[in-house]
This record gives sequence, structure tokens and C-alpha cells, in this order.
Amino acid sequence: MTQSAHDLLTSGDGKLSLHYFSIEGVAEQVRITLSVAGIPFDDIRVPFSEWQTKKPTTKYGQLPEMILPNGQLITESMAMLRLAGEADPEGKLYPADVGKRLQIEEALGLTADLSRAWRPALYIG
Amino acid sequence: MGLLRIFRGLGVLHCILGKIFIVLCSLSFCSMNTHNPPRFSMRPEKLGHPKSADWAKEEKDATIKKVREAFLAEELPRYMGYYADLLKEAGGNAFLLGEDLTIADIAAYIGLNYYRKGVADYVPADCLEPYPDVVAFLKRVEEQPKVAAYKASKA
Repeated sequence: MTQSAHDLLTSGDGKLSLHYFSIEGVAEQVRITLSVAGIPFDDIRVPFSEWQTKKPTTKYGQLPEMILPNGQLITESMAMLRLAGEADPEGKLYPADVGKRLQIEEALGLTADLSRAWRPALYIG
Repeated sequence: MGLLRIFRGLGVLHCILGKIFIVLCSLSFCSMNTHNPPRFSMRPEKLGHPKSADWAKEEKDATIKKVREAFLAEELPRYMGYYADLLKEAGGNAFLLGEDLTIADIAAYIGLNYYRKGVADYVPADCLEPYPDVVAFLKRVEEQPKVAAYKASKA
């Protein structure tokens, strides 16, 4: 039996929560996508002052992390973005059509490329 | 046997260095694409420059200015051209792939809007103004009712 993204994000004893810093970083796109898809979630903002103690408790030493209503831990912002898009009840944010999805993947890659091109200039100072 | 011990020693050292590297990398990732990156992410020595503390301020500032201006002059226009082409193909008055907002638009919005925040030295908040097609696209994403509602709820 297959499970839908919408079920995964909405069904269970708990409430969906997204844990990230209070910045418009890599999880901001997940927050927006969940909001557009109409999926309720607890938007947990982790203060930088708590990060050094929280970091060793995270699965891969980084944020964001997401806890599904069934208790499952999810990591990696791009995985969350696709899952949230897939859960759009209107099927528009991440359409099932493979041709459309391929175009979306290319555009996502372009944005990742731009971010990578900027990184050396950011981290220099 | 002696040689074997040296090799083993090197292996342990390599492993420790590797772990340190992973920790440094993850620290930098947590602040990726942020409008207010914490200072611990800035490690010029990882990019072949002196350590921040050892780097003369004037020389450091001049180097930062040089690489960021090069980004604005070369990389940014190239990418803005790609986005403008995508928008044109999609009809010019819509999102990147057509009439419907997709996760590609939301990701592009976050990635591009960063440059309008004026948070990095030498990258002025008006640096996207020469690319009106892209600016109009960002406006369309922001004005999409559900995106606007989210932003208003966090403002």
C-alpha cells in the first residue's frame, strides 16, 4: 500500500514540526511550500546561542530537521521541499507529470548552481 | 614493522583531520544562504587566504571587494540571463515553468531575494535592478496570495 505525501505530513499522533534557525536560509523554501500547500506545522526557530549544544543531538550535525506527525525524523532541506511540494492538494507545486518534474529539477539545479557560485565570495569574509 | 606503525599513525591522523574538516563543513552549511550569517562560517583560510585573525584588514577588505565585485560583474549577470530566458520561454508574465507556481519558483525566490537584502559588503540591495524581468518575477512570487499570507504572518 502506498502512502501519499499529504498523509505522511498530516497523519499521526503528533504535529508536523520544522526546526531551523530564524533566518531565510535553506529551510525558508520549505516553510513557504508547506504554507502554500496548506499543511499546518510548528515553525520552531532555534536560537544561534543554543546551536553548539543542540548540534551533537542532530542526525547529521546540521539543520533543518523535520519531525513528521508519526514521529519520523526527516533531514535535508531539498528532500523536505520535494515532499512538501508533492503534498500540494492541487498537485501544482510539484506535479506528478515526469516532463514537468524534469523542468522543475533543472530549475532547482540552476538555483543551486548560483548559490554555489556565490559561496566562495561569501565565505571569504 | 616500523614502517607499518608509521602508516597506521598517519591513518589515525588522517581520520582525525577528516573529522575536523567535516565539523567545519557542517558549521558553514548551517549558515548557507542566510541574510545574517554568523561569523564562525567565515574561514578565508579554507579558500587559500590567510586566517581571518592574521589577515591585514586593508588587504582583507580589498580582496573581499575584488571577489564580490567580480561575482556581480560576471557570475550574477550570467545567471540572471538564464532566469530571464526561462521566464521568456514560460510566456514572460508567469512563473519559471508556466502559469502555476512550483517549488522551483519558491527555491529561486529564496535564492535570488537574498541578493536584495544588502547584507553582504559590496553587494548593494539594488544589485538586481538591472534585471527587470527577474525583479518582476520575484514580485509575482511575493504577491501570490498564499506566499503573501505566509510572509505577512512572519513579519
